[in-house]
Amino acid sequence: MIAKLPALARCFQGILPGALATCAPDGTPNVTYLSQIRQVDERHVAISRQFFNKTSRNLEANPRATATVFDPVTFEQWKLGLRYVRSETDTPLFVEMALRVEAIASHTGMKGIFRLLSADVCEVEWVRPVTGFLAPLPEGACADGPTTGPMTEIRALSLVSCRINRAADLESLLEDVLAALDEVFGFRHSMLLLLDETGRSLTTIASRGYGESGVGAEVAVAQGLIGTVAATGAPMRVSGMEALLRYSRAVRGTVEAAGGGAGLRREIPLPGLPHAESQLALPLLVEERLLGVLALESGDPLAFEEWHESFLLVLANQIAMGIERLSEEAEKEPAPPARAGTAAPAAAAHAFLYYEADDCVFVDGEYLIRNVPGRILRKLLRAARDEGRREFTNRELRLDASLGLPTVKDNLETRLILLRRRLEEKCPGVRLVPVARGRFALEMDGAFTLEERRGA
Amino acid sequence: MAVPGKLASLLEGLVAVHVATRDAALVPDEVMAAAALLELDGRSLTVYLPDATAGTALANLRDNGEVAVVLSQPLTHRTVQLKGRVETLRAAREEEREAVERFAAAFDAEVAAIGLPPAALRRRTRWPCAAATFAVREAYEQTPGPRAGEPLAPEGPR
Repeated sequence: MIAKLPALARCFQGILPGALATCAPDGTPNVTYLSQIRQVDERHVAISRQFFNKTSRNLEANPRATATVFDPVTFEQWKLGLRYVRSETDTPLFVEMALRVEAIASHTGMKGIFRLLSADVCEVEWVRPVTGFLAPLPEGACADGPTTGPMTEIRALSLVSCRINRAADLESLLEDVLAALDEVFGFRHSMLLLLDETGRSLTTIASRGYGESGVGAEVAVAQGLIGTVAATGAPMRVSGMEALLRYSRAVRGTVEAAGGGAGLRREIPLPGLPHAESQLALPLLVEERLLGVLALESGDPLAFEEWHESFLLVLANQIAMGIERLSEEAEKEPAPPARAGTAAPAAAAHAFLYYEADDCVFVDGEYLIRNVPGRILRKLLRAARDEGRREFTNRELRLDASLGLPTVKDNLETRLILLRRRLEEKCPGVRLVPVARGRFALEMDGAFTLEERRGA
Repeated sequence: MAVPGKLASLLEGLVAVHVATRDAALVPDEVMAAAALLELDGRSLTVYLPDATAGTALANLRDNGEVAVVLSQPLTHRTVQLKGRVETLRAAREEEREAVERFAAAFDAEVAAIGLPPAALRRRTRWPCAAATFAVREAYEQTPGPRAGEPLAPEGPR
């Protein structure tokens, strides 16, 4: 029986690595694990060349190879007869495979050491199931799980789009989108990260399905899966992350054993699920400008399939446009008359500590926030302490050059949401309460102190 | 060579076994073994190849005997490759069955921990088998990383 390659998509996800046999010109066979194999087109696959030097030498001298792969759901085994065609090092295929390798490598502090040398393209001469690998199924049993029809997905997309369009403000949009992904698609663990004003890091602005909200958690651009998606503007899906992370850690172990560990960074902790098995990260783009990243995680290694990537990209575009629209709308309505500040009742005092060197704010000895939201908070606290003010407008923040907001597309609204949520979590006695579009009040249950230090 | 004396400790816990052979035209084949057990001499390995799946491999071994075997621990990716020429090829005996089944069950348990469905794992054919025995001629480190491919006995014959 000859099968078509697309039928093997699941086998190529690397959950249980397959094997690759080659043969040297002197007749000595060689066998190695396949760390990454992917379909290039109907008749070609690409295998990742990272460390297997003997395989590479064999293929150059004798292009015949045999690969076996496993279906991670049914455990069926497939065998592919391959003929090595070429090695690619600077093509889109190579870049795509290299990004996947690098995303995994940077999670384990192996960036630069654990990297793709080439994408070796092989023609697939034949594909067949390894008959007899599994004993026959008992009569009436079903090997595969249930599938979902396309109409379900289209309906789901329309439902989520509807919620995006209905959102009255940015904060509810962020919450509604993550709720809809959970309720409609069953993606229970998700987070939205927005690019900060430096363009070098992303900050978590909303999350769903985690014990700790993680709001305020940062990811550097180009690091890890989320950072890589931000850097490239292309979606990425990693399945069988545990398998890949274990693989990468095995590499790290051998590097350290070889005495090459001095330059390694510490592992970046994966934000979110401690036992994530798969992750899908999508860029939020408006006219090629990156606003942030939507990241979904699951404990199921097969939670995200190939079609989710393109399908959810449509959604990501709508989310990005929604964020853009609501960030701008916040400014359009005229501000109502200022409300008188309310006197603060006596309650527990909070001690704010601001470090000028990195715009970092601590409250009662705990890290609160930094960068632009940190500078905004200092401004508000100073005005409250020195002038007794309690109400502020977005406009005055925009006009204050000391806050360092970009002159266009400043995302002030998202900075305020971030600040508001961090205060809710770490210092509920101090609140930013919207009173009208473009206007908010600083409410405090008690007294506070603000100390400013130059050093970090 | 120096390594076979250490083979027993080297192979401890390596429960996933893939076997490469090749035909007269140097076309390689790969098949998963049900088990790999070290012989009493400490330098020969017997791989147990299920009759149901090893047709090509067995034909290749009868033709030329050349064999390469990777043994690995799926959870850690610790991997070793051994090479040699098969000297004895025979049907596995009933008294070997228990050891083969035990070895195969260790693989099942490890792979189930990764998340593969145990019901499917139990369906893997592991008996009857052919037993192919070869003296280990070459041994290589194959754990992914910069040392992959290094001989485990550089002083030994290649």
